[in-house]
Amino acid sequence: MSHVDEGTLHAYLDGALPPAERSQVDAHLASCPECRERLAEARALIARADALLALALPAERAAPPLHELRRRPLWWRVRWPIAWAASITLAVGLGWMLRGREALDRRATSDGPATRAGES
Amino acid sequence: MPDDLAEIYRTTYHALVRFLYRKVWDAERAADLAQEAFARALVHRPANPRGWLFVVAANLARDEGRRRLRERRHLTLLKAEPAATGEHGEPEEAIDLEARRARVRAALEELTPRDREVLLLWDAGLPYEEIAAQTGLAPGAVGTTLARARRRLVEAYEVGSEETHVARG
Repeated sequence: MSHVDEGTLHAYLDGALPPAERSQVDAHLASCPECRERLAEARALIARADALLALALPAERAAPPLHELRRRPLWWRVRWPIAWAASITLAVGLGWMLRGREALDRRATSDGPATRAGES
Repeated sequence: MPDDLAEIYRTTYHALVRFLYRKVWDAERAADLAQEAFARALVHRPANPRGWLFVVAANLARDEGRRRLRERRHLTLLKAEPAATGEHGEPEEAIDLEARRARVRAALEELTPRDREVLLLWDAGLPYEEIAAQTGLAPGAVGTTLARARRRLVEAYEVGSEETHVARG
């Protein structure tokens, strides 16, 4: 096996290698001081990065009970349906109004012939 | 199924808050967004809740970022930047911690979005396969990406520290 690349070393240290690949790396490390040194460097880098990330932690507060979240998001659950229903209502209402006006207009224009038809 | 989500809530809530905190940099807001993600999971019942939660959380944080950017544009027109910490007689240690946190934040922001995402997802406890699924990386590329992200984080942090010292000295 050729030298172990850095990504594989990190995956190895993160415990993310499949067993077969892991034992290959183990075998190579046993016989390669150079890769053992790089493994130590990778381990130090991971520790350093973890330590830096640990500086950027939020103050930990207890999580509210899950069932409270279930109650809280009612408006979340209904806000889109409501918005949707509102827009449909608006559209239908608007359409109905316009149609109503159109019907009135039509009646107004058709008044003449209708009366005439009644006359004859 | 609900028990499944309850278990994930117990094991993953704080990790999700942490993940969100490194995106919005406000502990209260991070907790709100995490709770909102779980509230949505209760409604949607996703098949893979943990992965789903992190995707939703990332989207919520992105929307939040856009909203805040808009707000900040308005605010800067109205008022000057708040005074830097340290002028109100806080103990030296607190200032130091705050300064280091700010440097970590600056260092994280120097990573490419994908490197940063992979690093934050790993730190939140997601395994390589889930990180790969979520970022579109090949599973074999997660280690390489993490190696690069870690190195750049450390380098950017150290460059930031040197600059602060030069500025102070």
